[in-house]
Amino acid sequence: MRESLQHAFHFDSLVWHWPIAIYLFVLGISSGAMCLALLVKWKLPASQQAAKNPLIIAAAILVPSMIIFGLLILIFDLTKPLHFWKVIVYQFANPASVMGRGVTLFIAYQVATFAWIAWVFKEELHRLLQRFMPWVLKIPGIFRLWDFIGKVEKQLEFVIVILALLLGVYTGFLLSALTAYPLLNQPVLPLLFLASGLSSGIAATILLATTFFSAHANTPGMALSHRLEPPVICSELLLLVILIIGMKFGGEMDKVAIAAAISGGFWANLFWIGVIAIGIILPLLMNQIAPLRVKHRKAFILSSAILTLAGVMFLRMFILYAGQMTPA
Amino acid sequence: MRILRWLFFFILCLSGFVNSNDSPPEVNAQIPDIDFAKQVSNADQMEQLLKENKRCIRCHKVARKLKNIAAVKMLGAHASEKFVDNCSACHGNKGKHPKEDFTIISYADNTHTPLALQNSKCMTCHTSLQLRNAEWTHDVHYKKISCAACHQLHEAEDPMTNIKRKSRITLCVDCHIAINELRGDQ
Amino acid sequence: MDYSRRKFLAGLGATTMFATAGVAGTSVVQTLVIEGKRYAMIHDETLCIGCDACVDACRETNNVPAGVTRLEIIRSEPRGEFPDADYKFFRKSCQHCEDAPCVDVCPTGASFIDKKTGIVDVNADRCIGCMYCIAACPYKVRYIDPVTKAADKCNFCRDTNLAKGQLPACVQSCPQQALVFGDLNDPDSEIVKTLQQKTVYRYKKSLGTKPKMFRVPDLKGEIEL
Repeated sequence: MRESLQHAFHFDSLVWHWPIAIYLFVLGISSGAMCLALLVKWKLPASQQAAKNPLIIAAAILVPSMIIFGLLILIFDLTKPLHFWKVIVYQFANPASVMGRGVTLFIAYQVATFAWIAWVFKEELHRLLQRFMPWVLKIPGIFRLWDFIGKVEKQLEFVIVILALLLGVYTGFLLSALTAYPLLNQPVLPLLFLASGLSSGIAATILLATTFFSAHANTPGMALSHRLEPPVICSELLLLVILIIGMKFGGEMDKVAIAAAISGGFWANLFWIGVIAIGIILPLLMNQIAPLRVKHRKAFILSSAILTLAGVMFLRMFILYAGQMTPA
Repeated sequence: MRILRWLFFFILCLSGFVNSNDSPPEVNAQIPDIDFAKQVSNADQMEQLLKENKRCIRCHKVARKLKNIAAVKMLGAHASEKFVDNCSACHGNKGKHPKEDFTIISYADNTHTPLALQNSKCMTCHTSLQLRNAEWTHDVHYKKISCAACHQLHEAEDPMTNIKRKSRITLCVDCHIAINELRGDQ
Repeated sequence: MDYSRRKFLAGLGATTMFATAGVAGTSVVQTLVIEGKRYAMIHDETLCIGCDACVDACRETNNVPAGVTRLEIIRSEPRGEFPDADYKFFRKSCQHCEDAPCVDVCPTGASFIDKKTGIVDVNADRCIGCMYCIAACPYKVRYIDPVTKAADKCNFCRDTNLAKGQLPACVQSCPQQALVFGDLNDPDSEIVKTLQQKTVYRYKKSLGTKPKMFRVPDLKGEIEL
């Protein structure tokens, strides 16, 4: 058993290790949380302030922090970490590079989401800046910029939706550009990562909001979030089925790769138990079977969210490692 | 019913244990057992063998100036108290040697002994699997050149033993360039 | 829809159009610039004796650190029984693909195809060590240089022997002359003439990388393409 664990994490064709899996995970959370925040905000009654809603507060924390955390992990995973800035300066040297386009996307996404957060939380931000960094408020044009964001709020939100969806599929495209690995070089991967990113974003937002911002079953937006979960998780399952069946109908290396990944060994076990049973079937079952009284308890909400998050993390690890097991 | 379920799981676990035992890998010794049984099968034959070897040593323990043959002493891996200068193991019996009508097996460059006969003497003790495991090139050179072309057995250390990577590659390169030049002339 | 929103959306549409045209344009531009040589190599597996002289010559000429290698000769399992067993030898080194996945994925442009020679090379300064290229290479010939910490691989001795007007070290060192190196654009070159005379195959050609390492197969038994 110990020997197979050693083999699971160390094999010849392995290039990218677990830090990349964490990066893929947190990027998905950011994109999913942003989408959820916008949906909740749009459905809020006019009397409710978005800035006071626990789900929107939680999402506003998750969206930028998860990206920053993911990028920090990436920087430390480089073999030349002090040279990371070159990927920003030279990002247009190779327009075809998915990673280069990702850098461009990050910049646009961070700018857009910061602007959105600054607008939604303008009163809170104003108060904080007044107290801790008053010089920022003295920057010429800062209030005009703030007002401008407010004026284009709807357009900004439209752009953010596009950017968040692009972020969701970006991690999938990053891996699917690797023609060297049949399991990664699959067209369904970007969609799979979008769906699992959405589900992890929703779960993480619910988790944070319930734990730290006193969200509960009757919080505005909570019902919507819970209504979103089953279809998102089901589409994740459907996409996994499409991936597996598609590869079984594929060429020689496709068949070899999918068999190696899911028919036996450490990663197959992680897939069936961690991804399917714990991350998909169990939350779906809990959602369907539990009576309303139980579903509204905090413990239930939290455990369901944690199971989903664990399942998505397991999925990222599985795709990354099992994907690199079989070269083309 | 519960007992049956427990039994089922127990058997399942048991089969896992049974299948997980790895048998230890075979030890591929590259050094053959030193064994006179390859040459002699009884005490009489052994006495004969020792007499034969004495005949070789009698003359060859000093240098033979006529044919410019240096004094011979067994050194290296093939020298041993047990072998006791067992010249006939590789060179065969004295016969009419040094008269022209001889059956002595010679490994020198100017030998008359056919290649197959020379190399077959080494195979009396060294198996093909041992040769392959020691060095894969044995497989492809056996029928083409004599073992003695690379192995010097009358030295304190055979230059092939623990040969360094660079020297080994130089050996391949030099010999094959020479072969290609010879072939080019034909 | 009021005037400002209409302008914004029009701007968004225009930006998308330009971006798409730009990306499409760069790919067209790249295929039109073919002025230089297209260096390629043949490894004749019928002549190779698996002596590894090329491996050592490469290491020496290019100062390849211990622990990594630009070139490997992979020996097959023996075919047949002693004393008639024989072996096949396979050269594992950069294929200098014309459609190199390692160049496609590099975010900084550190992995590039030298337009003058068609050689795939690495700008170690520009490389940040993200290892995308190492993952992308289907031939698994790239490594991280333990000294420079940048990605590296065979570059046909572009900065060593070729720069001095000599053939790559591996080609020079082969006692069997199993390696042929030259410019595919030159119809009088030895490589082009050899390609016309001998049966060759290329490894993992179906992946669409357009590799330039040709191999003359050892024809005994089944050929693995």
